[in-house]
Amino acid sequence: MDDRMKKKLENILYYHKTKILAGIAAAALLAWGIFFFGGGSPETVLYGEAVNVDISPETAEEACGRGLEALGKDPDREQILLETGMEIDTENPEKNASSGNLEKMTTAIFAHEIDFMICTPEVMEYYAEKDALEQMERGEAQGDAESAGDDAGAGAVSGYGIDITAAHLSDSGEKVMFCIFKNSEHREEAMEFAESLMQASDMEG
Amino acid sequence: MAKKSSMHRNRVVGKVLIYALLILITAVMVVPFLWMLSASIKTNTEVFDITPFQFIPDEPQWSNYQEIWTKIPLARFIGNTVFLTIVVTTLQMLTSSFAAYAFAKLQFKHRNALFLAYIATIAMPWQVYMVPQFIMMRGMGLNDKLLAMICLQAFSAFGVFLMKQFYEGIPDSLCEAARIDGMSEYKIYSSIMLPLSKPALSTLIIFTFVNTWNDYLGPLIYLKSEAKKTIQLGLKMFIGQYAAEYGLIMAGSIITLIPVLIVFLALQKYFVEGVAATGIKG
Repeated sequence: MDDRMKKKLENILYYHKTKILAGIAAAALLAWGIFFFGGGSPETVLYGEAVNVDISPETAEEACGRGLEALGKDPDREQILLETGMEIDTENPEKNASSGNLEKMTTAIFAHEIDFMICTPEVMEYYAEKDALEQMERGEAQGDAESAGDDAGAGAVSGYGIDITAAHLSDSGEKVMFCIFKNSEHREEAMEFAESLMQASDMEG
Repeated sequence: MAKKSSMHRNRVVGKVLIYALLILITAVMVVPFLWMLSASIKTNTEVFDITPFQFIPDEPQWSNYQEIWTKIPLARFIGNTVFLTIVVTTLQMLTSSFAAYAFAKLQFKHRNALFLAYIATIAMPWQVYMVPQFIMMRGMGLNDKLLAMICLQAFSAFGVFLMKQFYEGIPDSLCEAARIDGMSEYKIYSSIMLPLSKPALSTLIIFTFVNTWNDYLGPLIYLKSEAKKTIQLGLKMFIGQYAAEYGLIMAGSIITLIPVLIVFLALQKYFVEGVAATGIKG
């Protein structure tokens, strides 16, 4: 390298060091962003929350996969998103303020974002009282729909939800309901998803 | 002579009392952190054992620090959080200092009214406009995207306020001299104001970094897919319906504390200057 070039390089480094470093940092961050978040994420065809029901991520993934199949969607490009781990104390809503779960549900419901909820009967009643849930007609779901009591059979419609305990999404043995939100823009798809859960339990039975 | 010795004694007693009070306050601050450190190497049942309390249990569960990496995708969550924090902090530095320069050193119509209106947004709780903001973001196709969090946090009224306070302490004559020499406003901002505002910028970096790193409610509402979640949401995964894995939560919390500590220690010299110069207390 001749002296002229060397001096030029030194000059550039002396006067533009910060800009060069900032440029390198920005490029590194961009590369990192592309590496981490590159590639399109699948489109969410249905979004729901498991509230007060302990569903393992594996069970949720399996159930969503079956639902996607039932809806005839492409699993590579589309997804049913079932978030787990949501806890809401329906008897003491103020307590939820620290966990942020109630805020999350409220936002999702008002924004017409959430389609369905897999929950305990208490949570179903809580949201039914707030007029957030779609009222279901008997015969809308699969299976027997004889009564709305605690002993109702698999697939029983309990006014605002379908009893999907038989789908064994949770090991707790508690009654599990599938509810569809009034504000949902995909109510039919949500119902089909519920049916796919019940069909799977029928096949297992 | 006796009066002098009595004054000296009073001064010593006063100092001892002040030190005792300071030690007590320090202990109150440090004890939760030490408890967290201790709980991070305990089993779930040992965590709440008070009698007898063992700071280091008989069998320290160092495996907690291994398990947190395998039980949840912690590396992914940390990656997301680091990316989000760096981008948000950088953008807030830029936007806040830029806007503050305009509010502090440029004359334009309705400057004070505009500034007041912008600052007034600090008083409005996020919960008030959370839903319409979410609907807007969803309309922009940013639902379940880290970009939504970046857009939300890239601008900060508090940051503008903090930087403006600092810029107002810099004599206007500096800018006027630069203008007479033919410098553009952008050049004055980048070559004069920014280098002079290291203390205020450091303070803002610490505030923004810590806020973004620890943000829970924002990511909880906006980020749904596991691949997008941040570390604070990740820690919540250790809380089940019937039980919480406290040992793992504390181990995770210790790990999440490290970057915040590094940033604070690296910038604390400037932070104290910045707090003193801008009159802001954390």
